Amino acid sequence: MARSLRKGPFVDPSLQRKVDRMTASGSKQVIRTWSRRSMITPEFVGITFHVHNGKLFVPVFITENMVGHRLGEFSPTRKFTGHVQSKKVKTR
Amino acid sequence: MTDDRPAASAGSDGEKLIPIGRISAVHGVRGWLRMQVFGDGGEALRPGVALQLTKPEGDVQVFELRQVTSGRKGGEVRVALEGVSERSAAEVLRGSGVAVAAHALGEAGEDEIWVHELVGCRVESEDGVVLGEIRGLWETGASDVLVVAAADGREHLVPAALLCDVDVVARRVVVEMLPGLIDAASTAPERSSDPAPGRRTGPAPGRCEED
Repeated sequence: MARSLRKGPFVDPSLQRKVDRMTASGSKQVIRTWSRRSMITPEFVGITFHVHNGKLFVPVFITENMVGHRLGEFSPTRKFTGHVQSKKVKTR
Repeated sequence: MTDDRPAASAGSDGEKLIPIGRISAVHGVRGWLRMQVFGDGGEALRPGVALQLTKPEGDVQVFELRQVTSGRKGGEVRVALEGVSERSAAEVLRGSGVAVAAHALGEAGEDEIWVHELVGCRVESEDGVVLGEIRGLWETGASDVLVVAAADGREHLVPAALLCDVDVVARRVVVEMLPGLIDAASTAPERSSDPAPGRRTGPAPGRCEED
């Protein structure tokens, strides 16, 4: 069952504080978090998080397409299966 | 970290071969094959291109691609190869890895680069500090991560989105080095210098003091 719209998206308060602090100061740094359950909100776009997967912190650069998903969705916990060579990556 | 997929190898003429997929099954009675495609490898599948098939036993054969159509599932295509026109001939190719010459993949679009071109490049920060060499790509969903091997043997994880400048000819890549990007990603940090025996060092379940 979907979460009630009345409540709004769930973001751990301490993570939200960190994002607010970073946004207010204008600095750009990586935010380390264990909060895989937090939902990605539009104000996270452009921020890089280190999301813990139980063993290490996986860097996750937030883009617009990720809004509405949880941080943990982009930090796999299962065994690494291989490197792909026939794939294109975007550069800036 | 282990690599279950075939690594890039050199062909008979010395050109780099890039694995683009795997033959998963046969289709029909006329020698068609179902192929699972890795990444964007489907762009190399044009009639006439030479495909190198490596059977699970290690036998290598080269076939010319006769025809290709889309598959029923995402990431799957159906291919017909020259010289394979019967189901029995196709059956022996089941499970084979498929590779093409690097040039067959073509040029990447603007602001894009093939991962095989990045592998082996030296990674530097904007102020010239060398981080290591790119070993490969870790697909993590929407935000792919580059695996960078440092000289001291450690592995650093760098989001591909932070690539600023790529010079394939000079084998050099510049990444935007954000504070805290490298130290935490390479290994989980020590949470306590001398934890008591049996005491948790990570955050307690349900608590989020250090989120």
